[in-house]
Amino acid sequence: MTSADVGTRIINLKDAITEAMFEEMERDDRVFLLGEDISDPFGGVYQVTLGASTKFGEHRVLETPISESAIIGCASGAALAGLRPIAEIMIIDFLGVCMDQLANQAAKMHFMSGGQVSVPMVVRVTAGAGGGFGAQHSSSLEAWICHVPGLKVVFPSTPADAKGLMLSAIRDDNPVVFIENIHLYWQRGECPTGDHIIPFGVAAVRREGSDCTIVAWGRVTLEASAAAEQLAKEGVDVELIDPRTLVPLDLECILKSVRKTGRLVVVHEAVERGGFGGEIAALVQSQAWESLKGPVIRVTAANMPVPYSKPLEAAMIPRIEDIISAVHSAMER
Amino acid sequence: MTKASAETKVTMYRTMLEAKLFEERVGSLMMSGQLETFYLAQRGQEASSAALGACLRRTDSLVTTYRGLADQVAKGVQVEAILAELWGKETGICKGRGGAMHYMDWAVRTYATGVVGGGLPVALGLAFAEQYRHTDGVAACVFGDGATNQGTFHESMNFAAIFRLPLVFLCQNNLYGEATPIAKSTPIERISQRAVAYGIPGVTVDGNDPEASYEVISHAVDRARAGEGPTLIEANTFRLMGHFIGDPMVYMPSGEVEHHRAMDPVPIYREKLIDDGVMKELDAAQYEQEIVLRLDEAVTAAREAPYPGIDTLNDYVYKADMTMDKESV
Repeated sequence: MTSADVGTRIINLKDAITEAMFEEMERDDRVFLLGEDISDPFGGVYQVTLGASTKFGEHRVLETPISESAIIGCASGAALAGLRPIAEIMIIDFLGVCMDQLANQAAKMHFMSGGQVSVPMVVRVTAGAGGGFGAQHSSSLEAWICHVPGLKVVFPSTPADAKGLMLSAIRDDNPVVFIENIHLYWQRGECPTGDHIIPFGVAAVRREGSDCTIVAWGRVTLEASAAAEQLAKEGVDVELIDPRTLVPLDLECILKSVRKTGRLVVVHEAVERGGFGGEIAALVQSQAWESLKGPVIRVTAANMPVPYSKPLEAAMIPRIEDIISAVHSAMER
Repeated sequence: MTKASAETKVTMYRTMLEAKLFEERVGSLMMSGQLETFYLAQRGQEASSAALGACLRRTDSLVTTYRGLADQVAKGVQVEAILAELWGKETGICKGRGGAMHYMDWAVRTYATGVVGGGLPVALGLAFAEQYRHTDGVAACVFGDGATNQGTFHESMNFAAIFRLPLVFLCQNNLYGEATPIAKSTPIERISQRAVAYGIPGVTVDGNDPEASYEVISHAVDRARAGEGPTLIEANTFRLMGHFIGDPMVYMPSGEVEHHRAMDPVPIYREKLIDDGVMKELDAAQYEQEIVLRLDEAVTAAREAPYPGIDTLNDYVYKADMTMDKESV
């Protein structure tokens, strides 16, 4: 954090994202926005880009047709040419529509060119269940993009982190996918004003503890935090880590914690099979085996699409009691 | 419409010849087992590629495909660097990371993709950047008839049209999409008809006639530079070496390749330029000798060049400088 501006106030996560983008657009003429419905007066499906076209002009806020491949391709080409686009793909499920442009083109351009070019672009996506939108609009698909070498994956869960990581995402010369869980958009928290940068690969230790490590990101940081408080009342002292960026991952922070507690529970909203929790479990088991008292436990959604019916949708997402139960299991060893 | 000057005509011929001789050389290197690769030749399609190259500035962008050797040579990519890339050597234009289907030379602003239709959306961004910066630069995108059935073609045409992007869409219609003839995949007579659906001009040209192609392409480039938006050009041609070098072409009726080989645009243009008094027979022979010699030297250099070190295996996955990772910040 620079000493230039150390004010802080309470804002919500989505406004922190907006603030970061606007500040960077003022600072750097090369930054522009593109996506569906992002112009004023609508300002984007969750109004994260509200005000941008009025303040910066339609020249820098390209409201596109419904054409995800064209959006990502346009962002890639513009990035090759030295601009710094922030593309919005409305919902992470729609990455299926433009995956070639993201995974085969943008992610691989620097590599296939032998380093001749870079692709300084940000792709913002919303993710997560709870809105009642059903199976094709509610997924958590970070694992898909973590699996593509060449992409970076950022998943903030607090306003301060959203701001700091968005500034970094725009300034990084690699393609960065910036995931915004819709349930977290209205979470309020302290957020520094001004040029508040958070580097990638630095996890946040939300709570220090010595009995069990919980790694959680995105929406379920709320459930994990509530679980940690309840467990504290039982005398179980949880260390709670939010990785904030999945690629690059701050593995060292997690390993240091596991060497202290000997127990790891990983929580994510995404489905269990092939989820990024498995990646973290494998990494920790291979590098901190001697410290582990028992297997890494995952608390995740079941392997299913997100159902529409509200009680089913709610039942699918990891709940506080599921996390507590997992920690209890871990504490048995 | 601009007609090609005498100088441009000769430049186009030399480009076509360089591309032809390069690909024939790759073919013989592969057939003799000296070079192992999967190579998709643009042989036979050189005329419109050469014309496009003659219309573009060094600073304009060109997106092409896995069948883009003539496009890349026309844009200024050096045969030595391409050959070394095909060999997977460290001296290749992409240090062996890109290979036959995805090599590029950013010094002359080329990009290529191995995914059919995958380059068109990227071309949108290259064109958009010119517009954003208020330049009169343009982007061009070369693709085949097969790509015009891909969703990205339609998205890109629409996107370019609605934003009036300075983009030239050049479809080299070689009558085949991989192993499928156009009549089995495409229900319309002319690819250029598709432009109507997007409200932009569409024009068909004899893609084996470099001068006719030059007139049509230069007009499209001028329109784009003037802010008048994109154009779709369909250049009719034929691929003389099948889908890939070594392709037995079992899906093509017998006699078809021979029929088109008799209309090979490179020797035909050579004769025309000599007959028209634009080029001397002696000069034509000299150009050929120079290219052959260059290719001989390029082959030797590529063979002798080192492979990338295994210690560099993990390089270029991410751009290492200008990153916001904690080690750098």
